[in-house]
Amino acid sequence: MAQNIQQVKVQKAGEQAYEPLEPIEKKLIAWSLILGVVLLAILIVVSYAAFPGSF
Amino acid sequence: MNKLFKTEDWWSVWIGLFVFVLGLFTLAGIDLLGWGVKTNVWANLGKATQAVSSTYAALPGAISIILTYLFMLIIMSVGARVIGLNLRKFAIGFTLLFWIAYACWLLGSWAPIAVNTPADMQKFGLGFSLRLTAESGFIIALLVGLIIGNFFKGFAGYIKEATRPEWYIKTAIVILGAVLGVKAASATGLATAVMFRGLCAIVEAYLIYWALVYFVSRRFFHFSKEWSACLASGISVCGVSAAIATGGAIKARPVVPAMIASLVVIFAVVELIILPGFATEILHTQPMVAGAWMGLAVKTDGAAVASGAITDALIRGRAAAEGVNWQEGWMLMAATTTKLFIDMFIGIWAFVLAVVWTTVIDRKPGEKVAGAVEIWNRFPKFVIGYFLTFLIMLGIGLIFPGLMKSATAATGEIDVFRVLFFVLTFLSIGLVSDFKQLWAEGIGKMAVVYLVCLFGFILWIGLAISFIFFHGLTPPIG
Repeated sequence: MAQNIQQVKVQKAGEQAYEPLEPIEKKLIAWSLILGVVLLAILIVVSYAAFPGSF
Repeated sequence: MNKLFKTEDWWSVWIGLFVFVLGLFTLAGIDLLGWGVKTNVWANLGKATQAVSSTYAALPGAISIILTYLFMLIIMSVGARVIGLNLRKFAIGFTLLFWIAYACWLLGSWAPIAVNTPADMQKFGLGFSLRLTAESGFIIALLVGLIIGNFFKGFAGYIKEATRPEWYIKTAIVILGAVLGVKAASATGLATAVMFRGLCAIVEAYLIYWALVYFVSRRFFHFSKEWSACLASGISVCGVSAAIATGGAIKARPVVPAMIASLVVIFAVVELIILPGFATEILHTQPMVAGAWMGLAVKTDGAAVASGAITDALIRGRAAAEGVNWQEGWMLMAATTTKLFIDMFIGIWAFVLAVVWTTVIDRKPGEKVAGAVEIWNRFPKFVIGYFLTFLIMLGIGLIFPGLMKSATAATGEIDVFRVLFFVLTFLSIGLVSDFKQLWAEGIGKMAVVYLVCLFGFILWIGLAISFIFFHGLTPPIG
């Protein structure tokens, strides 16, 4: 652990060689956001129907 | 079977359940915990403490405190011994922690600090009060911990064996389940709405926040995949547990989640100090929105639940000043439920990440994909304890409504210990937050990512969605 922390001090968090975002990462991010927004929209509709007192 | 007794996570369940079961005897008319210390808001120190139950009314407050300390020392020492800690060091450390923590709680209950309604100002003959409510004891404990942890490191090192914020907060949350279960029984419609909202928080935290933080970290701050994944989990899900679970899932170097966990604790500390007051100012007419917001915005269990408790007290105090007496605990329930539902999915998320990493992002020849047993391994066990105590008390309240009064008294007694575990948590969090060391280890750039994400979207998306689901809902009148 001490050696690891020493390595990190020499090569601080984020100071590694830059790895550009890969296409697969962009795809996963996009799908995650789309799925999240769609699910939230569905949950809001369900909530409105099931718990009308919320609105 | 051994694993059930070898981790703090499981011992938080056993100790929490033990306290809960002792409290249940009250339902049968046997008062086993009524000697626990109740701390009143006080102007006269002689009236600050008393036994929580009228059965023990003759017991002097000072004896109540001592009995409470001894009980907590014994039950925690049993756990410490079995986990394999140095028992002598733990007992000494716990003793010092308890008395410092209790002094902080007592100070927070001093009338010129705590009182926040005109009626109470008159009762105590005060012309001025800081109006912070008795829950300010959490903040005082936190600040005292930070001072000791950063400026009296020798002493902090001396009590290190007992400085275990995760263990204390997990135990507190198991006990809290029972307290909230009784409340839920008294207003099932609202409780169900709170539960449902908790489910929605999972979608926000994992699918929306995580993706955005990962993107910001990679694209604008040029962090590697290893750092970005752990940062995303720490910042968007649940600082300590999620960062560590993610590190394990993607096989990151151990130092990565460790540093991120420290970063999240620091931010949670700052949020705990600032957010409840801010939420009270802008959301005092939308109490359930405020409670849920705390659960989404604050990223450690201890700070999130305490933020909920402080917000609960501040907003109720403000409403009481205007003649509206909301029941205690509903905003706290919203914060706790939101946060715990997010916690429950850590195991599943770690599994998903492990699969994604090993099959797509960082595929190595011959590497096996993680098994589904990882979901159970990563599942925070204390959440089982919370839902167990919650559902038992909810069931008792719904099936035997005649027992509600006894159930409320029972949970009032065990709540004494919940509060003290909370105070111990905050003192401990302060003690372990060494700002100088963290800065030297390069935490600065990660802190910028955290600031950008927190103020860029986490706070505001959380507020907007809490508002959509909860606006107009108020706690029952107490």
